[in-house]
Amino acid sequence: MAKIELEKLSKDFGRFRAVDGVDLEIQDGEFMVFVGPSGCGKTTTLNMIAGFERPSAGAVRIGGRVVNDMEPGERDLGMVFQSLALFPHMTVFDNIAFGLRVKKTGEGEVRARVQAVTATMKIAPLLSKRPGQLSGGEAQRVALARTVVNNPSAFLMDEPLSSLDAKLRVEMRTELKRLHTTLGSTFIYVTHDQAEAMTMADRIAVMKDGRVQQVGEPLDIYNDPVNMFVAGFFGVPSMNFIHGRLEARGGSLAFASASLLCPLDGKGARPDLAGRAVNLGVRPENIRIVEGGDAGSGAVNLIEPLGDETLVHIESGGNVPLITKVESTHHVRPGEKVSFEFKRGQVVLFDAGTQDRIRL
Amino acid sequence: MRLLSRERRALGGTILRSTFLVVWLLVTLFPIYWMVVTSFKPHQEWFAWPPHWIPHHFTWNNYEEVLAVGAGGTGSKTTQLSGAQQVLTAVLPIRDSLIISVSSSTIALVLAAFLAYAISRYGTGGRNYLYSLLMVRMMPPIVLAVPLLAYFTLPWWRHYLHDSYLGLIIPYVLTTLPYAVWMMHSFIEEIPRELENAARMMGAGRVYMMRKIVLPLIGPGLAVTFIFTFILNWSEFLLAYSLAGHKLITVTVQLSQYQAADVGRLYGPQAAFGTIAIIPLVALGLAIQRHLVTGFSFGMIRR
Repeated sequence: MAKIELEKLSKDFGRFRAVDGVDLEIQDGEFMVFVGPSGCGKTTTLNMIAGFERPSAGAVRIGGRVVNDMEPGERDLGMVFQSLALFPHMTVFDNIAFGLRVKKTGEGEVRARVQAVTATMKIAPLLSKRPGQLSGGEAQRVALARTVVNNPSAFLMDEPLSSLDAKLRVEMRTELKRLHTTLGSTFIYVTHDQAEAMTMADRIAVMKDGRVQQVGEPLDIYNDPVNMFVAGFFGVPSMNFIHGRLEARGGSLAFASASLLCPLDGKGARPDLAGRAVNLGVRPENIRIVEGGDAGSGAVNLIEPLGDETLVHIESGGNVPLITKVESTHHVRPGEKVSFEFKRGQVVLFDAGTQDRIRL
Repeated sequence: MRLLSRERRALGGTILRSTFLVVWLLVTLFPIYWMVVTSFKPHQEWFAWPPHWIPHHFTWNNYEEVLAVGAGGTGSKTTQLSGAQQVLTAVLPIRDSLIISVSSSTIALVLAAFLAYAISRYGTGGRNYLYSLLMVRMMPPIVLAVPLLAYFTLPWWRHYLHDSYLGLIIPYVLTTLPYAVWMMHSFIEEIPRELENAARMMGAGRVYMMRKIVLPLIGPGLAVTFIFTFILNWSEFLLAYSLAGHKLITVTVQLSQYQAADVGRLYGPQAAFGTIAIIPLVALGLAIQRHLVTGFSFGMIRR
């Protein structure tokens, strides 16, 4: 059990700054996910926590102690690697027993603990196999068991599911989440997959260019993004952005683009914002195709049925078509002229220059 | 029609390739065949024309001659004339070559494994170190032979270094080390760093990790590198001839002595000795064949 704190943590590789002043507190027992596109510094941050990279500046604290100068093995952490890193020349048993044997645990206890963990992870029949003979899901469980058996105070995971096929990945997601609940340990999980982050995390830290953009609970991040990057990173299909300008309309503000006009409801009128160039963001599920919709209209140019829902692309005069998500019972045909509206209170505004959120 | 012609072209390619390989195989195997056949021929047949593709009178004489221990004691491996025939004893050169080749290959292998690990994992020597190492090998051996001879015959250590095991082992280690480092480096690079990180994470120290993770995984690489340096050392002639050759005679130097002004051209014994000389290489190759395959295809293993 341990609280992990990052203080102004930075890492330079030559002149390239991979991680830039990350401040973050990961609570004891929390499932924290670092998410971001490749090269955003999430793995480097994890490696600094693990001890494989030395911070160029700042500190890593585990359970209140600065661990910057400690060897990875002294930090009482467990790690599951992207490649799983099972030792190919050892049996599953020896793989799982490795950490215990390093610590010179008696062979009787090693056997007992390996058997206990393999029973819980349902991999007992695999003990005498070698990693090369395991399926993707089995190898995954063995890698987890190898970490769990050492009973570390926190688990670090670097995209451990990325090598699995889609179905198995979803299954393992559930299993990891269950494991977290059972163990009650701190988990730090790195991924570039926003769906993994959303489904598993207690809290998410969204990273880009070495900096943390936003930290928060999954739904807060989804519904209340601080900038266009975060807004666009979460959700499939991603949020629609429409470039336009704010206009004052009878005491309140409205968003206007070449083809759209959308009244905005804010708590207070912000006449100071009138005339500002902005991007309006609206998620596909917040666009409703309705008769006489007040936001705009356009021709349907593509339909993607997903089964339960259907994605409808509407050509509405912007650079890219608007994507809306509708019930699959809602029938539209390509070429059909439709009008639409935005759900009230479900649009967000970003400054066109800084791309930061504008709150009304 | 088009498909047919494409298939036909593919078939043509296969035939061409196979023919080329068969011809090439014949070209490379012929000298070995001829050596082995000659080793079983009596002296009348050595120069026979038309050539005898198989011995008309099969004999073990050549082997008996080269393996006979000279009556004048075992120290001298040169000649004892008995009539027109000459008896050359070859047991000692084989023993000496084995001692020298095995020790220098082993030393080079151990050094190379550690050096290559340091270069691969710690960036020892900087980015171009491997290439600088290889530059050492571009120097012709003769450039090394004369200065070494001058040093080795200095009175202080002449006794230890001239015409001695040590005097050949040192230059053999030096000349094969660059190759060995290169080979070991490529094998070590193949081991994912994450394996070592996983072991470190579980508290394994460098030595423990080397023993339990790195060494077992580079086993095939060690075997391949050993056999490679062994072949280089076993077949080395120039240094063996110039730095030793009196008290200490290696297999290659011995082979050269079957043809000289004072002994004539002893094709039969030479062939017999040559046949014996390749046995350790073939035996070594067979013994580690499994490793050889793994070793040479190491980069192709799915991770």
